[in-house]
Order: sequence, then structure tokens, then C-alpha cells
Amino acid sequence: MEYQDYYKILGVERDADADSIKKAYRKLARKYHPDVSKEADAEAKFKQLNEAYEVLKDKEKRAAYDELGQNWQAGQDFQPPPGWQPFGADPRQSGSAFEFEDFADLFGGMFGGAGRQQSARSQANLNLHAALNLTLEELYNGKPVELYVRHPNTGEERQLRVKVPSHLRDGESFRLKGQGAKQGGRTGDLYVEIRLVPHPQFEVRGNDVHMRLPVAPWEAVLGAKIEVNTLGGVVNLTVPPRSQSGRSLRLPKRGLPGPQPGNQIVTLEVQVPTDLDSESLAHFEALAKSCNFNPRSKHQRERYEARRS
Amino acid sequence: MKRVVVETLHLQTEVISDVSLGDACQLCHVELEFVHALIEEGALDLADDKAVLDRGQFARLRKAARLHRDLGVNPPGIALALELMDQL
Repeated sequence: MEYQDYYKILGVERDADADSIKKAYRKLARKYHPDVSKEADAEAKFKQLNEAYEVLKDKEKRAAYDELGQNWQAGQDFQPPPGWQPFGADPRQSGSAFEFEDFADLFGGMFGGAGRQQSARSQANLNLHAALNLTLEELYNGKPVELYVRHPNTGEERQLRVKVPSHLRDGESFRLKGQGAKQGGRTGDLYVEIRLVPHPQFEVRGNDVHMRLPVAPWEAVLGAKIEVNTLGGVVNLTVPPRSQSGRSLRLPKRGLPGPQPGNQIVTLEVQVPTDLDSESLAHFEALAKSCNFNPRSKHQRERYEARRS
Repeated sequence: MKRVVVETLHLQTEVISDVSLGDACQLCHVELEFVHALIEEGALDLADDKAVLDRGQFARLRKAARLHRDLGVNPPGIALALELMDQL
């Protein structure tokens, strides 16, 4: 297995006391918690963090870890001593209602080395939990996706092909009956929570899909027909003349499907050209002289009113 | 670990919705009091005032349970965190 420098991961000295370790952990956990964090590699960081904390918060585990020596470099291959139990190998030993194992279960899929995947660990009631990373396109298109589930008892893997219902949203779950753990004659179910991977252009809010659309100043003033990406393909959007930056336009029923299909909301963002040739620049200079437009007149009036009252 | 895929199954999914509070507690590894506290804080809504959570609210409970377990946040804190996340 690979040696991990747990002290370095938590950013504490090797002689740090329990309080400092907890404090360092909490601070980083808030930063990288997958439900909170916007960092791209939050899940991996959070898992690493928990692995480190799981060992360093426990006196015995910490002592055993310290005995491994200080000469190891992170990433170096090492042979763990007999009886050494890294985090994750010992399910449910504390039995409390809230423990990391549950989280590892739930996000097991994201931490697996092989991309999309997989699985969970035995629970009292044989149900298994997994997380499935989905792109917005995969959710929208509803094509079958593959999941790998490692059976906690036998270590066998099954490949499951499932069609994710496209009206599900980030964080919502579906169940696969009979795909949980088996014990005696009983079989649990597999609960799969979907996690939408952030999209470079689209943002989902409810059933609506939001996007920002850059437009040129003259498109905003004169109006334009612009080709816009939607999940269902490219459509033509009419930008009405005299559209302000920040104006939202609606493409009906171009959002996510469902009993009440969503819309695509396109927010215009006027962008100014920065690389102008002298001819274009001359047009703007002419405009500055001829156009009687003061975008701050309202602000000035408000300042005046504020002084009077 | 070497991956040995023993079989490929094509499966029907069953959307998790209208989960009873008892089932929800079991699936999220939380106590019923925790769920009630979230409802009191207004962080969680019951479907039509019945004792069931629809799929969106169940997803919310899962998130709340993780915030509680991983970050030690209490129900008022969770309510605030979820509210702020909704606004993002």
C-alpha cells in the first residue's frame, strides 16, 4: 500500500495535540466536504482527510502509525506491519449512528480508482449505498449507464446497466431491488444517489437549465438571432433590440424533462471587444460624440435624493 | 484490486420517493428526533403534511445527515447551511 503522510494532509506538526488535530480536521472538512465544496477534487481530498483523521484522532492508531517511522515519503510503497488497519478496512467498528464509514459507503463510487463506479459495504439490513456521478447530458439523454458493484461478502463484482430516470435531480436516489448484500436467503437492495457533475455551460435550478450568453454590444442594441446550445441541441434565440446586459430570455421546454418540463433561461452578458482595430475604434469614438446616453443618470438622481432626505 | 465482472445485468430502477420517516431514518442512519428537529427548523418539509418525504426532501435529509455527521453541524446550523446553499 502507499504511504500517506497524515500529518501533512491535516497540516499539523507531528507532536500536535488532539485539539489541534480536531480543529485542523474540521476546518479542512468544511472546505472539502463534497456537499459544500466547489473544488474540483473535493471528494478525493475529503476522503484523504477522513483517512488521516480516522487514524490521528485515535490514540492507539496514531501510535501504531507513528511507529511506522518518519522516514517514509508520501506515495512510497510500504509493507504495513501485522495487525495494521488502515481506515476503511474495518467496517462499522464503532457502531455510532454517524460515522465516516457511511460516508465512504455513499461516496464509494467516486473514490474508486476506475472512473464511474461502484459500491458500498455491508449494513445491518443488507442494503447498500452508492453514489453515481452523472453528466447533465447523461441524465437528459437517459441512455443506460454502467455501474460496478463489489459484493461486500464475496468481493465479486457485478456490472449493472441502468437507465437513470431523467426526472431525477442532483442528490436524489433510486433503488435497484435485490442488488444489495446477500446473507442466508436474504438479499438487500442497492440505493444509488445521483450526483450531477458540474457542467461548463449549464446550471440546473429545479427543472430549469440556466446559462449565460455573451453578446456583442451591437447585438444587444440592434437585436440578433443567435444559435444557442440546449441539452436537446442547438436552437435559435431571438435577442430583442435594446436588451440590457443581465436580461433573461426563456426558451420554453428546453430545460430538464419531467411532469412539468423545465425551461432554459438564457441570461445575456454584454461583452466589450478589447482588441479593436482603428476603424472600429473610430466608430465608437463617433458614437461617444453623437449619442446622448448617460447610463448613470439614475444613480446621480438617487444620490441627490439621498442628500435631500 | 483486479476487477472480475461476473455478470452484466440490465436493471429497472425504482425512484426513491415518498419515504416514510422510519425508512428515511434507517437509510440515512439518523434518529427520528433529528428529522423532527429539521422539520421544526423549516429545513425539511413533509409531503402534504403526511409523514413521508418526497424524493427532493429525502435528498435533503441525506445531505443534512452528512453535514451533521461529518462536520458536527446541529439542526439550526444545517437549516442555515441548506438555506445558503439554496441561494447559491
